Amino acid sequence: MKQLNSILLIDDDMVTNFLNKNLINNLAIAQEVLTFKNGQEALSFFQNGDSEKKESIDLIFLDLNMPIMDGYQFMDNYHQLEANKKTAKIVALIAENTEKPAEEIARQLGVNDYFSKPITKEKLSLILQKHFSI
Amino acid sequence: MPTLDLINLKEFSDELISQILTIYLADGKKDIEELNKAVEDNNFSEAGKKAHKITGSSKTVGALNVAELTEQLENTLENNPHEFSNQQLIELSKAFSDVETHIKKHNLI
Repeated sequence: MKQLNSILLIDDDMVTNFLNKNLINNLAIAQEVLTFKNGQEALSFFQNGDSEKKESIDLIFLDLNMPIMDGYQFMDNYHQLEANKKTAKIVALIAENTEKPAEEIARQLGVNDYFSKPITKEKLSLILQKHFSI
Repeated sequence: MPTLDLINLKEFSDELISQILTIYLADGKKDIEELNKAVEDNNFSEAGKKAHKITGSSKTVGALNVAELTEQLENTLENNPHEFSNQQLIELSKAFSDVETHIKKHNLI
């Protein structure tokens, strides 16, 4: 099966990150899974991290409600980064009980897609088909 | 309500459950300390985000009492901060401590 290079998980919940990393590793859909616990950590990676590693990111799962730097602030900053080098697909994880429709939130964020939590095998499969033709 | 309902983790091995609960306890203790600190600093927005985070991980592992208390706390901190009472933090610490005791008593980690 074709694999992605790297998947980035940005979520302040370490239990969720652990479970999602475990799921992705079990399904063997990426060579590497990186986790960051808030937008600031992820942004620092994109600003100062190893170039090869940054360019290997194919898919980012982004939680929205996080301390220090939330998903909205992360996207504001991410949009300003090396515009021509951004190739990763970004999937926002949007709670089901938000005041605004998830579709509107996703459009405002400028992400490629959105899903409700938790990430499941079925959702991963849909994302891979839709965005990577896998 | 049971102190800990592992139904969401039923498909995982005992070893994996042990790892998940270890992360939950370590992270949860730190989060509760940071939540207390944010409240002391009157930073209710940050405290609300911490409460939200604890709710998420607590629901995942089945610590439902903790999740219920942090959900109430998040709602109070974000919508009615003037109604916040330290008693909410005391109850949260106790509920979390009960989960820790349960996990250790049943040798889950």
